[in-house]
Amino acid sequence: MGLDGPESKTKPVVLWLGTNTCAGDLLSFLNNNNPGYQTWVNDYVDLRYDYLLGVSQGPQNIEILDSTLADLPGRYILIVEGTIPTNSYEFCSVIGIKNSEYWTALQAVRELGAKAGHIIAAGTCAAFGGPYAAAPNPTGSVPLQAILRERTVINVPGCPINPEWLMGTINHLILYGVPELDSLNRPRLFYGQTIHDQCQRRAHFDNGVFAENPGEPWCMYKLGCKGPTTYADCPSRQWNTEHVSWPVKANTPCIGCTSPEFPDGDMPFFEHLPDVELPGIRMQANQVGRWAGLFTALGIGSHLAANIVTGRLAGNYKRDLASSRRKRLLKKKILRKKF
Amino acid sequence: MKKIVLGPFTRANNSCMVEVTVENKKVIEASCSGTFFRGFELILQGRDPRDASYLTERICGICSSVHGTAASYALENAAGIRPPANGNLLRNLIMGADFLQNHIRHIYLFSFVDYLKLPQKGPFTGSYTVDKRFSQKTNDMLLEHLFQSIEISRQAHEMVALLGGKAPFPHGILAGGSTVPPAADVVMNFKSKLEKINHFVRNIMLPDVDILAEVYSDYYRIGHRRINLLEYGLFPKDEKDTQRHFPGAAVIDGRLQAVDLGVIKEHLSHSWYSEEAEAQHPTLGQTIINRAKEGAYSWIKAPRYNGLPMEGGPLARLWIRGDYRAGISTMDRIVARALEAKIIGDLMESWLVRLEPDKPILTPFEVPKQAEGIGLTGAMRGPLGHWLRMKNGRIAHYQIITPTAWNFSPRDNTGQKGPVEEALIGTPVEDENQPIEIGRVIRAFDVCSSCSAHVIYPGSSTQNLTILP
Amino acid sequence: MDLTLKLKRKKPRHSLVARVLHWLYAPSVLTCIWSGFYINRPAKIYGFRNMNSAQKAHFIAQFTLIFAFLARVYYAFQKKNYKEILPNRQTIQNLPRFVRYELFLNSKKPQFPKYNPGQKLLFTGFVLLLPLQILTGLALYFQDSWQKTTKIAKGLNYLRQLHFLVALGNAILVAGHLYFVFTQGFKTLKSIFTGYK
Repeated sequence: MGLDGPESKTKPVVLWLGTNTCAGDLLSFLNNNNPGYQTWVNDYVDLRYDYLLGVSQGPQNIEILDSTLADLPGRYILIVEGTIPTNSYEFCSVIGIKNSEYWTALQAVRELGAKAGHIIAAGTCAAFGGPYAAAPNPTGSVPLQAILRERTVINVPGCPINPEWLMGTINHLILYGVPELDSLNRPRLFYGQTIHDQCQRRAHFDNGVFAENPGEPWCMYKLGCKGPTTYADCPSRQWNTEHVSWPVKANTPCIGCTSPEFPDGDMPFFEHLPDVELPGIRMQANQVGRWAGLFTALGIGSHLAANIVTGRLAGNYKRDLASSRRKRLLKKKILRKKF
Repeated sequence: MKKIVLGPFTRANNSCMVEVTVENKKVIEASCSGTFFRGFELILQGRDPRDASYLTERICGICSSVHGTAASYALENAAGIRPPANGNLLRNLIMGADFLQNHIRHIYLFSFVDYLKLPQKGPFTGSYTVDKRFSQKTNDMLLEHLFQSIEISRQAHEMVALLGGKAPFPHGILAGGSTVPPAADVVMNFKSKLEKINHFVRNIMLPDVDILAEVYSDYYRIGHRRINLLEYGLFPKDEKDTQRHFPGAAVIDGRLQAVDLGVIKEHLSHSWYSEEAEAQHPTLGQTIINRAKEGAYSWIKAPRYNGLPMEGGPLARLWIRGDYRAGISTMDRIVARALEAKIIGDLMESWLVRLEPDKPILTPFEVPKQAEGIGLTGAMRGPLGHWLRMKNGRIAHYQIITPTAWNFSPRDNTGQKGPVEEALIGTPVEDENQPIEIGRVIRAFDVCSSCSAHVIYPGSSTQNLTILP
Repeated sequence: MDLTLKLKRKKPRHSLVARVLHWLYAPSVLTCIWSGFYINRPAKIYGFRNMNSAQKAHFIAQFTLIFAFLARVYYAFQKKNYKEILPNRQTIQNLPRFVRYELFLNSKKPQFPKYNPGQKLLFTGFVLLLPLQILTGLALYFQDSWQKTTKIAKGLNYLRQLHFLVALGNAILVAGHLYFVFTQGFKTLKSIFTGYK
C-alpha cells in the first residue's frame, strides 16, 4: 500500500470539482472496491484536485487548477459534481477566492470545462439538475450541459451514483474512449434498460401481487415504484460494491433517481404519477382523476334527472316508438295490399 | 498583521471558506463562511410529507441517514404513531453504521491528513509541510491505517446498504419503522462487518488517536471555547422513545440543563438574507436572499440558544452522557469522536441481539391532513432538528436546523462569534504561508458545509419542547 | 304515394365503412380506458386477473385503436366527410341555441344537420385527444427507441402523466357520448348498427 504507483506523467489527470452538491457522489465513489479508491488514485489516474478529500488548501487549490489548465489543455478529465446556480444566484455556489475575488461555480465550470479533454457530470445534480434544482429551483440551478453547450458532457446520473457506474465510465474513457451514450448522454453500459425490465419482482408485477406498505416482499408498483420509467442497472448490479441490496430488495419503491426529471417528476415518491400543477393548484394525479370522475358523474346525473323530470327522455323514446309503430302499420298495410 | 483566506477549504464535506487575521503568530479575528445556498425549505413546500425522509437525506451525502431519521421522527410525531420495536432498532442500526462510516472517514481522511507527512501526489498534492511531528515509522504506520480506513469505512456503508437498500441515501428509514426484516443472513452479514469495524476502531483507530493526542498534546489547549454545548439526544432506547442512549441537554458554562426549544432564536445580521425576514414569524417566514447585504459573509444563519452560540457533536454528547469531560479543545473533539465510534459500535452489537425475526418492522399509518411534528436527533456533527407543519395532507412548512448551522454559524446580531470562530481565536499560526493549525481546529468540529448550506429557520416559535438530560 | 317507396325511404346515416370502423374503435377505446385504469392503479374491481392480462388487453386494444383511428382519418379525407364532424361557423352560431335546449331553457328541439353542435364538439375532442393519446402511448411503449421524443415531455414520468390526463379527457368524452346516444331515443342509436335512421 501507499502512493507508490506509476509517475503521474503516464496517468490521465483528473480534476473533481464540487459545485452545489452534498458530496454524496464522491462519498459513494469511495465505496468502490475493485479497484478501490486508493488503488485507483495510485495506479490509474492522477487525481490532482478533489474538492472533498484534497489535502491542499485555498490558494494552493487554485494554483493546482490554474497550472493544469495551462499545462494540459484538452488533456485532463473534468468531473463535476453538483448543480450550478446561475443568473443572480451565481453566488449561491462559490468555489473559492481567485485573484482576490469570489470564484463562483459558474465561472469555474466555464473555465475548466472549456479546456477539458473529457467532461463527466457525476450524479443527477450535475447531469440533470437534481434535488437542488427542484421546483421552485430557489437558486436558478442548471445542469452542467446547460452551461457547456458546445461540449459533450457524459452524464452519469444517480442520487448518488452507484460507485461502479462512475468508476466504469471513467475507466471506459481511459481504456476505450467515450462509451456508447443514449440520447441523454448516459452510458448505455449502465443505463441501457429500465429497472422494471431487470427487476427480480417483475413476476409479482405481472401476476398482480402488489405490496400495500413498504417492508412487504412484493412488487412495489402500487407504492409508486418508478422502476418502469427509470433507466439503471440497480436490480442486476445492486448496491454498493458488495452488491448486497438495492431499494426494491429493501422492500421500498425505486424513486427514479437516474431520470432527468428527478426529483420533481418522481414525486410524490409513493404515488404512481407526479402531481398535476396548474397555477395556484397542485394536485395528485389520481386526485384529478377522482374529481374528473365526480364532475362527469354529476354532470351526466343532473342532466339525466332534468331529462326525466321534464319528460324529454320519455318523449324521445315515445317519438321513436310511435314512428316505428307507424312503420309497422305501414308494413302491414303493404302486406295486406299484396295479398 | 496578516489576513489569510482559505477558500476552497476542503475536507469539510463540500468546501467552505475561512478568513482569519493573524497578529504576532496568533489568530485575532476569524470568520467562517458557508458558501452554498440551496433553499431546501422552499423546495419542500407543498410536497407529500412521506417524501421528506428521502428528499431531506439529499441535504448531506455523509450524514444522510440522520436526516431521513429526523424526518421520520417528525412525521411519526405528527401522525401520532410509534414504530415497532424492530423498526426502531433497525433504524438505529442503519444510523449507527452511518455514524461509524462518518467518524472513521472523518478522523482519517479529513482530520489525520493535517498531521501526517504526505507524498506530494494525487489528492495529496499541495499539502502543507510544516509541523509534521510523527517519526517516519509512526507516520508510515498511520498512513497505512489511513488507507485501511477507506476499506473499513466502505464496509460501514455496506452495512447501511444491507438494511437500507443503498448508501448514501438509504431507503430503509421511513416514518413507521424500517423495511428490511432482520433475517438471519442479513443480520449475520451485518454482524460480521460490524465486528471487523469494531476491531478496527478498538485496536487501530483508538490507539492511533492516542498517539496523535500524545504527540500533539498542545492541541488540548488550542481551539478552546466556553463550555456551551447542545444536543437533542441520539438513538432511542426503545420504540417508545422515552430515553435515548445519548441523552439530550443544553450545557451552559459546564452546567447541564434540559433543552428548551423555545429559547432558540436565529440571527441574520451577518448572513446574506434580508433583515425583513427576521421580523417575520419563523413558521411563516421566507428566506429572502440579499447577496449585497453590508457586513454579511455567510449563507449560514446564526442560531443561538438563549443568546449563546452552542456547539454540538461527539464531544457534546459524551460530555452530557458523562463519559468524557476532560475539556473542550481541538484534541478533545477528535478524541471524543473516536470514543463515540467505539461506544456506538458496542451499542450496535447489543441492538443486533435484540432484533426479533418475524416480528413487525413497520407500523402502517394514514398520513394526517393537518398536523405538526418535530423530529429531533443527534447527528454526526451535532444536534439536528426537523420541524414539520402539514396542511391538506401536504407540507405547509418545513424547517431544518442542522448541526453545522450551530457550529459554523457566523456572528449574531450582538456581534458574538459562532463556535468555530470562537475556537479559532488565539490559535497559534507559526507560518502564515502554511496556516495548518487553522484547518486542524476547524476540522475537529467535523464541519459539513453541505449540511449548513440550506439552512432553514429556527426561531422563537418552534414549539416549546423539553428534552430531559 | 306508393307505400313501398315510403317504407323504403329510410334515411341513410352511417356508411358501412364508418360503422365497421366505429365498432372497431369503440370497444378498443373502452378496453384501453378500462385496462388503463387498472394499469394506473391495480384493483380487483376492474376484473382483470392480473397485470399481465390487463397489459395484454391494453396491447391488443391499443393497436386496434391505432389502426381504426388511422383508417377513419383516411376515410374522412377520402370521402370528405370530415366536414360533417369538424365544427364550422354555423356550428358556432348554432351553439347558443343548442346549449339553451340542453340546459332545458328551451323545450323545442332545434333541428341541425347530421350532427348537432354538441356532437360535433365531442367528436372533435376525440379527433384532438386520440392522436395525443396514441403518441404518448407509443412513446411509452417504445421507450428505448423513442427516447428523444420523451425528452420533449421532460421525462417518462411526465409522459405517463400526460397519457393519464389525456385518457381522463377521452374517458369523459366517452361517458358523454354514451349518455347522449342512450337518451336520444333508439332510432339514432340503431343507425350505428343498421346504417339507417
